[in-house]
Amino acid sequence: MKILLRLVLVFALTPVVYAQRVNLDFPGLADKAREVVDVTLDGALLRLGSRFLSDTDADERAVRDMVDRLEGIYVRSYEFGSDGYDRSAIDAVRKQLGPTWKRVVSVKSKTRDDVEIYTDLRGDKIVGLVVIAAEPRELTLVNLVGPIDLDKLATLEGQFGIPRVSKKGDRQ
Amino acid sequence: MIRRFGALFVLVALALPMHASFRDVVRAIETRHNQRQTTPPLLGFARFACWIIHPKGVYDFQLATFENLRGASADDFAAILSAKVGAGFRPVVRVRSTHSGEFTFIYAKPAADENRMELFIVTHDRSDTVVIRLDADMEIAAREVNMARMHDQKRLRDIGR
Repeated sequence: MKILLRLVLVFALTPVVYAQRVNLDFPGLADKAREVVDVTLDGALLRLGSRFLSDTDADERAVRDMVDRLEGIYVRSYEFGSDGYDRSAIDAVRKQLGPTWKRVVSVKSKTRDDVEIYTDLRGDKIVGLVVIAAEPRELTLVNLVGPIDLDKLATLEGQFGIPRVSKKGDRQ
Repeated sequence: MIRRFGALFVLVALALPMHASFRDVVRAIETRHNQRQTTPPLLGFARFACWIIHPKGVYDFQLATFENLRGASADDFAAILSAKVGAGFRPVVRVRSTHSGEFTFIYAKPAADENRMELFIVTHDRSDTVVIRLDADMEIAAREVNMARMHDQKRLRDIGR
């Protein structure tokens, strides 16, 4: 009985290294948008979706390798009219990111979109990622859940509804 | 001769029960917009053939089209789908434009066979609304899509030379 209690205690105190899914759906945001793209791929659907990536093309093979290890891809992209949108949605995303989340990229631009990239770092492994790309009339939120190889991350641009963030020629 | 055709017709009619959730969605659209679906000719035979030969990994499909559906809105269709699409289906892609009035919803349901998937697709533009239910082997479908893309790329390379 004691052993069982100890086991229960050990499991209860062990930090669970599960990737965190971030809520990207906010009431009113999609209703106000002129254009909405909402992609939700997880579990078996993600595995099946990755099969549409070619085995022969090196770039797509890299994406496929990465996607096969992911648990979920969630994309919300909104385009608004001239009155823009309520920026509190961005704060609402940031507030969900716990202490394991670190901002790794922050780009502020007067001419292009502001981009912030956050990673959920557990030990030396990245198990989650959030991208916030905000323009006055456009907002794109991306959440990847699962182990992520930062070197291969750029290969996901343009796939599964994830927008291109880097400029042409940035990728090596 | 007539008897043979009659027997074949009955066989096809019995062999092609409408999938419950598909029927529910189509009926809900018909009721909401007071407009009947238009069915392409010989669709039942095409579906029957699909059941037998599984072309390109497609095991079954259903199709309903509506022409010039009046007053169709993405919110209405989203509500119909979430209520009627059936257990196990999950939204994968939802795209809508209030500017053009166009929208597309894709719901998916993995099957027990790990390669197979049921897709429920609704797409609407200014002139047509199409509802499709598809039961397909994604491994085969992916192979076909990738092969077509390879051919396209090769053709583009050849043109560039």
